[in-house]
Amino acid sequence: MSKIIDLLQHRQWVWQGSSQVLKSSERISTGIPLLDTKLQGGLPKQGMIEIQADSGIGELQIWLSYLQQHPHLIVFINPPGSVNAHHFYHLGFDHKQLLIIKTDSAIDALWAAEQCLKSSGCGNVLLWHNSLSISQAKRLQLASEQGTSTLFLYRPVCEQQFSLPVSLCLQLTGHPQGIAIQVKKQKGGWPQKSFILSLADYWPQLVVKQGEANNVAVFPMPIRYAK
Amino acid sequence: MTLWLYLHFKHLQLDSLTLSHKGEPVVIVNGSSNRVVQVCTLAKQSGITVGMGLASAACLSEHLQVVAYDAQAEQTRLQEIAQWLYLATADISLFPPDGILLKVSNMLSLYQDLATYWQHIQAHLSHLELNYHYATGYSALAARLLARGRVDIITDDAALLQSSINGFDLLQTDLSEQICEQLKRVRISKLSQLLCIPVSELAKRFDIELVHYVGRLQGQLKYPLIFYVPEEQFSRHLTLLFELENLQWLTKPMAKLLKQLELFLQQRNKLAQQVLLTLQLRDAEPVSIQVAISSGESRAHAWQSLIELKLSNISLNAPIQAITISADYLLDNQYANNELFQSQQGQSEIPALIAKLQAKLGGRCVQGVAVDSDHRPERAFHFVDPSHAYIKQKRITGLQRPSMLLPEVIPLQEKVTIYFGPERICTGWWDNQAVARDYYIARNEQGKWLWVYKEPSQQWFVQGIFC
Repeated sequence: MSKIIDLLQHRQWVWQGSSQVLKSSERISTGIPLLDTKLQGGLPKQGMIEIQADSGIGELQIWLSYLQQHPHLIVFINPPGSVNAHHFYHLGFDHKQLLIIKTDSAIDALWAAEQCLKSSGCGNVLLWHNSLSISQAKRLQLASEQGTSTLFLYRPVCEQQFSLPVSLCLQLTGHPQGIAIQVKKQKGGWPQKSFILSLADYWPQLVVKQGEANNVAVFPMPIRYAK
Repeated sequence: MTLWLYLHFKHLQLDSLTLSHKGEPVVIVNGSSNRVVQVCTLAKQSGITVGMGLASAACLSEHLQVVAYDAQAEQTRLQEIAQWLYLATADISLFPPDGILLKVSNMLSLYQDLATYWQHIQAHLSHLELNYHYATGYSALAARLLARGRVDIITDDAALLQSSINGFDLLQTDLSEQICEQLKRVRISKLSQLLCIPVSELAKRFDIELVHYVGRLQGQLKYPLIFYVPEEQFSRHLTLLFELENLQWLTKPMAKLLKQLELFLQQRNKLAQQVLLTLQLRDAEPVSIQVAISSGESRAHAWQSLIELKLSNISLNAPIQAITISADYLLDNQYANNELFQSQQGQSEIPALIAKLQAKLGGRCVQGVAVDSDHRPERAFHFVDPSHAYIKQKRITGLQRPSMLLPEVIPLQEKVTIYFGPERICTGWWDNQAVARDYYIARNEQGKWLWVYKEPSQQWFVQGIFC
């Protein structure tokens, strides 16, 4: 049996997905060792990364050390709130690195994402978009390959969605110890079972449950004297 | 003596109507006198001549296109010609509505002789596709007289020039009819006769105007001239021969003007930061469209694509009659040294990307950020135009801040567990926006991390989300 496979392989008549595995040089470390090992060395250098997550569980926070690595432009398209530039600046991002786009229509958002991805000046695009068709995803994927840039697509968790042609698809869910991450799809690799990324190393204050510190003075209540 | 060259553009407005009028005769008619003032070749073939009434002209040709004479348009066109000629010759004086005077003598040290100079001027003018008559002369008026008389002579031979002038009739000169009449009464009708009379004799019997004219014609008196100074800003107007209703058809005429802008900028080694396109509409207020690239740009196609993006967003309620393109904010061209192999062009592409996004989505949708030194979270930064200049602030490490703030603070209405805090922010007493808050990081039952604060009144609010 294996003889036949060897023969077929030798003559290049059979094509194996594992030969398409990206080399480690084409991966960029996320800055989180556990995540790197699960993702074969890090995030792909270019392409589309789909993140299915509910808002507010740290789904942007885990990419910050990755985003800090290069000085390219980071574009936020239709973020769920007002991007706290103060936070990003004091983490070490530059003013000029952040660009925020808010569009009235979903089509404009996709257009803007495509333009940013194509431009060589732009490194990472973060797009919050609920419904994306397969053809639109393919188009964005091509644009990101053209501009060697990465698109982070944030979508809410929904089981009924079509699987999009993306380089990497992660599902994040909140967990008492941190974030539960499930690799649903990755190019050149198998889907991974859910694992828990502990936030203890990154947000040490947030894990151990604390009460109110005992050195807090109570606000003095205003006292009114009757005249 | 100084040698001058005069160019007389016989139908300037007609030549400026550049949109396709192939196959149809066109005439320019003066609105007040109702007479034909400029005739194209096709119209001439059907027998229409200058000075003919509009009715007779219309009888001679059934497909006749009639355009009203516009003195202002000719004047602007003359300016443009002067600007173009300025690249080849230095001293230019305008004789509105249809003449340009060039000072030749000074330029002969650059171009060896008159013939070479004329060749250059002719080749240079050929780009504009104009019809003109020309003549040299040893005074501005003599050159003008010869050119307007269609002599078409280029020589520095004084005797030849003098003899060509002599043949002119007095009515062809710039003298007023009244003086011509006076001269006629003493049987002087040719210029040669007038020039025979000594100036002192003329001064005794005739007006000072005539003396001045004769003196200036012969170069004895100076003719007052104002020389052309090239403009600093770019502004071009193009009247469309047909009214346009489809914005896509605007591409061709716009490209023509943008090419001129590109040339204008290249010649001055400048970049434009902003281009303003004005569309003149029929019976409606003109529409202005403004596009900007903060780093400056000179190439026509870059501006063209930006303007097209902007045009795709607007709709007009009247057809377009004319377009104007102007650029006021010009920058010096800065050359950056880029690495040959490393593609460092990325950074330089950002302004172009921002310009493109702004053109399509509108300026307020595309924003950069500026950080302020304030501890109140809602005042610690603000959104600005991406081209805004930035002030560096000292970076503070170890802050626990959410990545997203809510647009408006909302009261806390769910059960949360506090994980971190408090961090007290108590500031702003100096500007009447005092805050006294204890900030906590809390997690709600769905696992969402919230940034909440408590006020002295014991009220709780949510201000941010840890995305």
